[in-house]
Amino acid sequence: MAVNQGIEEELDELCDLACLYLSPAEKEQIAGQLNAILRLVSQIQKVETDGVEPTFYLAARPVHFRKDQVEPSLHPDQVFRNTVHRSECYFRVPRIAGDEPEKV
Amino acid sequence: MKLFEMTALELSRLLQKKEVSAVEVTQSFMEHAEAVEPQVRAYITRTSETALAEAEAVDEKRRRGETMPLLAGVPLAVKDNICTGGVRTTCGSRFLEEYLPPEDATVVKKARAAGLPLMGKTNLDEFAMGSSTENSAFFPTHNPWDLQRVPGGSSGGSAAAVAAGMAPLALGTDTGGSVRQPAAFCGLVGLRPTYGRVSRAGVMALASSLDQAGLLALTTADAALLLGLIAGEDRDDPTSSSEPVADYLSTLQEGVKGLRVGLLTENMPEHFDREIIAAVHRAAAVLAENGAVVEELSLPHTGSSLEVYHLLCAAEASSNLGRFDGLRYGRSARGENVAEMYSRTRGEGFGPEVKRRILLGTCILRESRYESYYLQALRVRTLIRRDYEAALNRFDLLLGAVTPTTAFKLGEKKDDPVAMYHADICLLPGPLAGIPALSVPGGLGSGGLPIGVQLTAAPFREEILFRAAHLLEQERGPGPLRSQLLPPAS
Repeated sequence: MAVNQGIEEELDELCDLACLYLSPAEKEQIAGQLNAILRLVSQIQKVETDGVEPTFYLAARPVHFRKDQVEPSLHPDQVFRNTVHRSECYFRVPRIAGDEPEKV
Repeated sequence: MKLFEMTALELSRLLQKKEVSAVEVTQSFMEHAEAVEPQVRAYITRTSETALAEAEAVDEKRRRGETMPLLAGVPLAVKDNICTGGVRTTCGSRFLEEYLPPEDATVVKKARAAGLPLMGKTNLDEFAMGSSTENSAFFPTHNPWDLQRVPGGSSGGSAAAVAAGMAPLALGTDTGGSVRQPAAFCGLVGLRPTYGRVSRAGVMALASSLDQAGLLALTTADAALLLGLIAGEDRDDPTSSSEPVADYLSTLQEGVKGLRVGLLTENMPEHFDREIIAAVHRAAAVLAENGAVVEELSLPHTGSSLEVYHLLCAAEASSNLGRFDGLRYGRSARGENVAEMYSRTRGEGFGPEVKRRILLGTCILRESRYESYYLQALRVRTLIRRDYEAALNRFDLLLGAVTPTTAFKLGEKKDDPVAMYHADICLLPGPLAGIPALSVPGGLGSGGLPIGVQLTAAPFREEILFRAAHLLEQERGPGPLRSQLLPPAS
């Protein structure tokens, strides 16, 4: 996909993918800024990288894991301290199945 | 000299000799903060009562004759993206305005266990995305050297707190320069340790292959003391290293005789301020006069660091910030269905820079761009790593600039993200290679503003950085640089 065609046509789709609402005014401003940033970062394509492996991680040694043992965990009151969506010991989420939409 | 004017090491010595109490020390910083914080605005949350209680506990243990860690009773400021149990941790975001973490981050646990009173949570660019602290959702922080200027970012609150005498030490985080740049702008020592040297458990993630907890201090000795306290393997952070932690303070005076120093001239293009370039050359001359062998060197692929960094940071951030859905914690908006609820929650909770980076990351991770942007950036990252590996086989230490200019004015770059990104150009190669990097004051420039000089070394060789930085400090003159809000020693 060519970068220089501009991000405007793609922006609604990107917002859906990122679950991110933007007002019309925000969209207009951010489109111009994203185009400028994409122009900057597309310089990377000029670098010759044939045969070069990507670096995903920096850890010098194999990452260590703890033993797979049950350990004390947080009390439910701590877990739910920061939510308004508590229902006993569960997080209550909007209904995702069925016909009737539910407001949460 | 008043207590709030002292370095952490000076305070530590007085505390150990019982010439002052931890409560007196903490109160001195709190009283000074009452006077200067309204102008500086370094803190999002101040925790004076907690700090005094922790100081009292230290004094009580000393009275009982317990052996205390060196920094017991020396106050600490903590960047507000580092979790503090029961003390709100906002990440500079409206999203987390009321968030109370259930536990301390490992670095905070270590500091509390060693008796460092927590002075408060410092301001930052939202989710550590920025270079001026103007992206904080709450308010900008002002540079104690010139209140019309930025303190740098994203750890700008931590830097301003130390430079204004509101805490002698601070914790920050450095993903792409967020400790070193504010240290340079505020006349401090700022260390980004090796990737894996310090635990990141409880530090809110921005870009996990780049994030590192770091620190800010008035002097290299203070920085060495604090690193010794917070470094080490942590079972709660699988990327933390088991490499032994050195006694950084004990090797501080060993000098640089015989060290091979590479001078990174190509990271200082002509548009950089002349006084910045001059400060780096002055530092090179000081190292050479003290027995180091200085040679110019080239890292040919680091010229692509800006692009690589912003591609990888945005990609990782867009993924990491996916957890902010408004259900389990943080801000929550209403919606007709799940998708609308998530979308409105995130739209209301995040500020402009966070939205830009999430959308950029989403954009370049799409199938149509994944290969040509994301994978290409990871391949160029390999080339940058190889440049450093080759250079650090030849040299013990690399020397270069931290920033193209001294602290810029508030508002100067706020609405131009690309200009803001360019200001970080010298800071990005180090994190991409995972090596330790330190900013140390290299003197004052025009307008009396501090200039930083950057030192980098091979992984886990922080002691070399401290030795060279300490020498540069000694040659510059006695004591730390002091802002207008931290009076000269009397």
